[in-house]
Amino acid sequence: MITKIKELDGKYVASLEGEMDTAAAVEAEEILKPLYNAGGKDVIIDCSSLEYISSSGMRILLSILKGAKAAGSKVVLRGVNEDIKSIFALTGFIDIFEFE
Amino acid sequence: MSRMGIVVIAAIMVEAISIVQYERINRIMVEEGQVVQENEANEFHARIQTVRRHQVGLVLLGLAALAFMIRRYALSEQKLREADEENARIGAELKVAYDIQQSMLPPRQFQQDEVEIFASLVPAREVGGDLFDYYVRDGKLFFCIGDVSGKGVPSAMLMSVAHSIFRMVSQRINSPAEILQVMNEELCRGNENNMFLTFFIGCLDLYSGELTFANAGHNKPFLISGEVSQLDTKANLPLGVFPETRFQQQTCTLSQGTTLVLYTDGLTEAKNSDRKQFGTGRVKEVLENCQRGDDFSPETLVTALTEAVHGFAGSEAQSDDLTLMVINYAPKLN
Repeated sequence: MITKIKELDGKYVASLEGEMDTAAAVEAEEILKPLYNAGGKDVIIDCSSLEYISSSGMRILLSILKGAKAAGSKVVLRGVNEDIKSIFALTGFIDIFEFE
Repeated sequence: MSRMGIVVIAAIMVEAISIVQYERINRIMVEEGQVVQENEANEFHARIQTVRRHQVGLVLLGLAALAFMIRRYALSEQKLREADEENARIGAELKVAYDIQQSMLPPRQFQQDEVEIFASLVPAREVGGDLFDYYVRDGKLFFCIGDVSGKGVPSAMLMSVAHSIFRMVSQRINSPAEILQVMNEELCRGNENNMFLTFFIGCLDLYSGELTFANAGHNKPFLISGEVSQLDTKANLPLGVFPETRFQQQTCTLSQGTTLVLYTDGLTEAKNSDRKQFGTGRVKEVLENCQRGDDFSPETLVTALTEAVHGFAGSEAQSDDLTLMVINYAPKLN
């Protein structure tokens, strides 16, 4: 999978492309780690090219969310497809994340 | 290494032979010194000496290079040997860890008057983060299935903790939602890596068939009762996410002969070479086929699902822990 982070208009935008299985999540975490402490900046996670997310991937998103909540900022998941949304629904994560 | 070694040794031999030859020429020249002008002989002798010094220098350099390479070879051999020993040690420890983890599970097969169970847990690596458990207390069957995020040793460690807490708490609390709540509070403590686990707990009254259950973000179990459907569980957050999570409890009554099929996402998210997932649709198909064949004993269902998912994944490696637990509720007729 391909993971990128950029800063845009005072927000962090992370884009996740491909399949975030357990192995890919280990690599993606190295790139996404700065977002665990985003210093009060909002985080947008672009999932429009994300095809699959494992529970290891969900753990990374959860870590980003917890860091942001602690700093009073928010996390928005953008362009999540229906398959992945159903995983969020199954795990109840659908209620703690913001989608657009 | 060996090819380089041969080259160096050959170079040294060539040098050594040339030294011997130069020595001989030198001797001949000195013997013929009577007919050669003395100054010419001295000059020639000096030249020979210079060449000889260079030759000796080259030989020493070659020997030093060879010694260096032999040493490096020996060191890398030693490192490889050490790495092999280390791998063997880790492998042996993981084997023990696997045995311990498997021994913590109840028997794969269980049969009592009112209930029959068959289960299977196959980790993707030596140890894994999946769990199933069941036991009967006070006329009630307590059972659970769980899956920790990730796999391997870290998830196995968390699962062992969760399993112990489940065993302790469910000894004194009947309500699945309350058991989940106590487990969650404990598992949230000091969970800095934000690891979480999905967990389903059921409590089946073996006399009345009343099933009380609560689901912390786990896959919805299948139900075979006349038709194949999925238990409509409420989506609560997994354990280990937020300490303040409250879990909703649900109740239904199982009719005689009802079968419950519990599984982890190693079943539904198994992929084939086209990266397609096995999915709940295929699980349902397999269960319906078994039902049509009128053989859906717990063991048959576990075998059928296992074979179907292996057949689907083909040569793709098992990427996640795979756990199945099938419970058939068949109360004894009076």
